[in-house]
Amino acid sequence: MADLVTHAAVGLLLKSMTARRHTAVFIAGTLLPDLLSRLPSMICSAARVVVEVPSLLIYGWDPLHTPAGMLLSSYAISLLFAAEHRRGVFLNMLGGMLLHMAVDLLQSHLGVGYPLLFPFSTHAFELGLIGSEATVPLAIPLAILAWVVWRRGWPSSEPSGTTTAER
Amino acid sequence: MLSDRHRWLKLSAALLLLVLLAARYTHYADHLPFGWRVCVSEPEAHDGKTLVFPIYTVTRIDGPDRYAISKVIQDIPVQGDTEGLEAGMTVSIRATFRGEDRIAVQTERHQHTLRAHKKALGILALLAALIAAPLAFTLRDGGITERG
Repeated sequence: MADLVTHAAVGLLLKSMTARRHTAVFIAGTLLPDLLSRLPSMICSAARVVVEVPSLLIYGWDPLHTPAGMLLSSYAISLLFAAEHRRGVFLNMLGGMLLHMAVDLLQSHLGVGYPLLFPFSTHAFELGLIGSEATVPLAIPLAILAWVVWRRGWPSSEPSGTTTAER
Repeated sequence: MLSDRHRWLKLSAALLLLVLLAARYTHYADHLPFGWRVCVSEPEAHDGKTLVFPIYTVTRIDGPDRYAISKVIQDIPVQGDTEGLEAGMTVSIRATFRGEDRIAVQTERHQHTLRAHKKALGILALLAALIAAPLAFTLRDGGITERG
């Protein structure tokens, strides 16, 4: 997994360039795959030092970091929102989660990737283009850049009708 | 699919499917047809098998060419150069299983020197999310709503 600051920053940059509705939901979507899967798994693994923890609580969170788990979790979370916003929330949350997956797929873990087709297949994929910590030095500059772009607006998101000569 | 009709039933069904996915994955992880547990259960049969240990913690240095790593399985013995290695470091290892002494013989190692920074960034993002969540969302009309 890439670091969470990079995930959020990439999400904010993408939202700056596209439709800005449901930005908070989209950013939440970029964070939730790790917060729902890695965080509880790490806590349960650490708890094994003092108490016996069943395998389900160690491995059972991992599907939340697969497309099938993302689809189900974004659907479940969207049902907690008011009905009139639910469709937009579902699509943006799922979009954020899939963006998270796409960024993670860039990494290399010595060939041990992500089971994208789980539960239909356990074959793991990764592109192996960058190291698993390659985003760490870039995270804070990227977050600042994303914030600035978000505040100032992406050039192409100017009001329609603005001609090149007017710029 | 997203209407209020049978909302709680649909939510329960989604959660049930997530639990089933969790159970399926746990069964898969507990019964991997490859990996350390399988190799140790039949050492002779798996001698020479390639093993990959991504993002493991070094838990012990036993000598100039011996150390142990842990993740879910604790203290897996590894034969490999320990120069520059310390307990607590994070490593990814490709190794060959040697059945006669049940050890992973390291063939490739990557030290994750920025792992602690990565964890710190994770905590930073989590804290920011916890602070931002009540500013970005509110409860209204029996559901969560985005502010603004």
